[in-house]
Amino acid sequence: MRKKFMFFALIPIIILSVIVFFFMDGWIESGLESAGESAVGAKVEIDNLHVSLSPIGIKIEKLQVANPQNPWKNIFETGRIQFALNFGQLLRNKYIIETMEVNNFILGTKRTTSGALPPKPKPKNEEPSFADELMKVIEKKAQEAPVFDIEQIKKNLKIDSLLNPNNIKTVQYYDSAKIQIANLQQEWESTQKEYEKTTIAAQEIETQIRSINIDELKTIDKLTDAANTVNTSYKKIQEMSGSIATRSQSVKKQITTTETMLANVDDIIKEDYERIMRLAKLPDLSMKGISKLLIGDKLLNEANYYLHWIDVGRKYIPQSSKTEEKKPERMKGINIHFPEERSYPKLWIKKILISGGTDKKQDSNYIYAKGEVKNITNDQRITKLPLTITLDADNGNTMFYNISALFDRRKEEPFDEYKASVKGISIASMEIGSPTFLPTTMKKAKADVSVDIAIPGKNFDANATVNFKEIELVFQREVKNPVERIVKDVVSPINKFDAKLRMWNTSGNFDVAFVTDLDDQIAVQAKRVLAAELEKIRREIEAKLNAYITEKKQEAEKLLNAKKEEITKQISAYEKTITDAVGGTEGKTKEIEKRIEEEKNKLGDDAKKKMEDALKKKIKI
Amino acid sequence: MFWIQIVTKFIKILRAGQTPAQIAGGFALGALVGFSPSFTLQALCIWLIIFVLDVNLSSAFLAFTLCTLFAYLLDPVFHHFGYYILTDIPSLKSIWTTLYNVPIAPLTRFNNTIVMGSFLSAIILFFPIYFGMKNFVIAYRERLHTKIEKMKIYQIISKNSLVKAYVRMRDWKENL
Repeated sequence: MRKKFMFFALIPIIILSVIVFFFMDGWIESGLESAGESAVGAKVEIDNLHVSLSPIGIKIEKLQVANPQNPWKNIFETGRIQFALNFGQLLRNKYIIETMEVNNFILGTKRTTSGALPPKPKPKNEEPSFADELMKVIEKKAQEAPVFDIEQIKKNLKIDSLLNPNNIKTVQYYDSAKIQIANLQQEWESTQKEYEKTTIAAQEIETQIRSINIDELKTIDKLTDAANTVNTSYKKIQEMSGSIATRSQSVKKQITTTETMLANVDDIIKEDYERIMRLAKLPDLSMKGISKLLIGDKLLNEANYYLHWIDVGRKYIPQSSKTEEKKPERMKGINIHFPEERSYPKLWIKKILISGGTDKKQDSNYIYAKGEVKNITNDQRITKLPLTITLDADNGNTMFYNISALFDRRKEEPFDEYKASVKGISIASMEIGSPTFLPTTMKKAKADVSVDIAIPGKNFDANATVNFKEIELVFQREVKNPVERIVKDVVSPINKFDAKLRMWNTSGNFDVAFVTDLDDQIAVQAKRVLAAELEKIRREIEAKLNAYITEKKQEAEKLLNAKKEEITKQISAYEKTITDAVGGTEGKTKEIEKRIEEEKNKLGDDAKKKMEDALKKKIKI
Repeated sequence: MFWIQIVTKFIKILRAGQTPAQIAGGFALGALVGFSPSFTLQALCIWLIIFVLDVNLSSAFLAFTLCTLFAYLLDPVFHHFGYYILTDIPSLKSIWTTLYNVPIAPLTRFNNTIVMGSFLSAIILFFPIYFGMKNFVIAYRERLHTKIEKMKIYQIISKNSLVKAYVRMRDWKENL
C-alpha cells in the first residue's frame, strides 16, 4: 500500500470535492439563471438554490422571471421549488424528474428593478411569428377602417380620380382588344396581297382556257392535249380556291375571337365596380364595421399580447429527435445497443405541481390557482407523451378560470393546442371605440371568455368568444355625425352583447374576422337613416363608371365592325373571282367532253381507248 | 521532460531498487489502461489500483504510453473482437442486456466494440505481460545489464552533453 498516495492524491481530491460541494450551489444557480435569461429574453433570478446529494435534488427558495415586454413586472415569481433527480439516469447524463413542486406561483408581480436585458439583434431570416402576422393584419385593417360621416364621405369622394384607367381593368381589356384588331388588320393586309396574286393567276388561267376553240380541234391528239391542259389548269385553280378558303377561315376566326372578347366583359366590369367601391371606402350598410370599430380592435390588441406567448411556446418547446441514429465514425468503434427496460430522453420532468395565483399586494381580488404541468422533455418521441398544462383558478366565488394547453412534438409536424375559459371577469374600466369614432369607456361590466386555439404546423386557427354583461357605458364626447348618433342610440340601452373573434391562416394568409350581435341592431337603425344617401353615392359612381366603360366599348366595337365589314366585302369579291374562274374552267371541260363523245362515235376502238384514258385522268381530279 | 524522467527512472529501476514483481505489476496494469481507447470507469479503477498498490509507477506510465501508441494500430482488431463478443455469442446477450440496464454501466462504455475488444484483450494479455516483464527484469539484472553498458550506443548516449546536463540537474534536485 502506497501511503504517500493517501496524502498527496486522495486528501487533495477530498478537499477539492468539499470545496466543489460548498460552491456548487452558486455555480448551478448562475448557470440556470443564464440559461433562463437566454430562453426568456429577460432577467431570471434564483434565490438560495441548494443542491442535496441524497436524494440528488435541487431546492430553490424563490424564482423570478421578468417579463420581456414589461421589464418592471415579472411573468411570474414562485416560492419554494423542489425536485429530485433519478440518480441512475443521471449517471447516463439524463435529467429525469418524477415530480417537481412549485409553490406560491404568482403571476404578474411588480419588480423593484428593471428585468430588461441588453437588446439582442434580431436574426434577419427568422420566419414571421404569429404575433407579427397579426400585427400586420391589425395595421392593414386600421387603414381600411370605414368612415361613417356622410358629409365627409361626399367631401372626400373624388369619383373622377377613382376612374383612373389604372384602377379599371375593363379599359385595359378594351385597349388589348384594340391591339388585337390592329393585328387583325396587319394579317389581313398580308393575306390581301396573296389574294391579289391568286386571283390574277386564276383569271389568267381562265382566259387561257376560254381561248381554246374546240371547233379547231380536229384530231384526236389535239383533243387529248386540250383535255390534259384543261385538267392541269382545273387542278391549279382548285388549289388556289382551297388556299383562299383556308386563309379566309383564319381571318374570319380572328374576327370571331375578337367579337367574343368584346362580348365577354361582364365579369371584368363587375370586378371593376367592386374595386372602385372598395377604393371609395363607402361604409357597409350592414354596419358590421361599426361594432369592430367599437370593440374589435381592443380585442385584437389583447389577442396580440397573448400571441407573443404562443410564439414563445412554439419556439422553445423543442421538436423531437429523428428516429434514425448517426453512424459512428470509423475506428471509434460502434456502440451496440441492447433492449432497454425503459428508454429516457435527456430531460424529462414528469410532473410539476403548481400552486399560486395573482399578486395579493396589487390585487385585492386575488386569484388562487393550482395545476399540473406534465411531461416537459427534450424529446417527446421517446417519452411518447405530449407536454400538457392544466390550470384551475378562482377568486373565491365570482371568477373561475380553466386553462389547458397541449404541445405535441411527437410527429414531424408540431401541434399546439390551447383552451381557456374564464367566467365572471370584472371589467372596471375599458376603453372602446376610437378617438375618431365614438370614444367610449366601458365603466363597469362582466365578461365570460372562451378561447380555443389550434396550431397544427405553420397553420393557426383561433376562436374566441366574449360574452359581455352588466355593461355600463360612458360616452366621452358628444356625437359628431349621424352614424355616431345611431350607434350611441343602439348601444346606450344595451347591457349585454356577445363578440366572436377568429384569427386564422389555414388558407395561406393570416386573417381576422370579428362578429357581434350588436351588428344587426346597428344595421337596422343605420339602414333607415343612411341607406338612401349611400345608395345615391353608389349609383353616381356606378353611372360614371358605366359611362366611361361604354365609351371605351363603343370605340372598340366600332373599330372592329368597320374592319369586319371591309374584310368580309373584300373576301367575297376575291371568292367570286375564283368561283368564276372555276366555273369557266368547268364549262370548257364540259365542251371538250361533249366533243370527245362525238369523236368517239366516229372513231375505232383503239382511238376510243386512248380517249377514255384521257377522260379517266380528268375524272380522277 | 516528464517522459525522459520516466524512462530514466525505469532504466534505473531495472538495475536495482524495487522488486521484479513490483515493476512487472506496474507494467501490466499500465498496459491494461493503455489499451483502452478512452476514459472509462474501469480505467479510473485501474489507475486507483496503480496508485494505491505499491507497484512501480514509472513502469506503469511507460507501459501506458507504449500500449496507447500500439493500440492505435490494433484498433481494427479490437473492433472485430469486441463486435464478436457483443453480438455473435447468443449466450452472452442476456448478460450484456442486464448490464446495459444497470445505472452505472454507461460509465464503462462496455457496449462500444473497441472498448470491449481492447479491455478483454488487455485482460487476456495481463498475465503474459506480467510474467514476461518479471522474467525480463530478473534476466536484465543478472545478465543483460553489463552487456548493455558495454554497447557503443549506450556509451554515446551516456556521454551526450544534453544527457549529462540533465543528470547534473537531476542530481542537484535530488540533493536539495
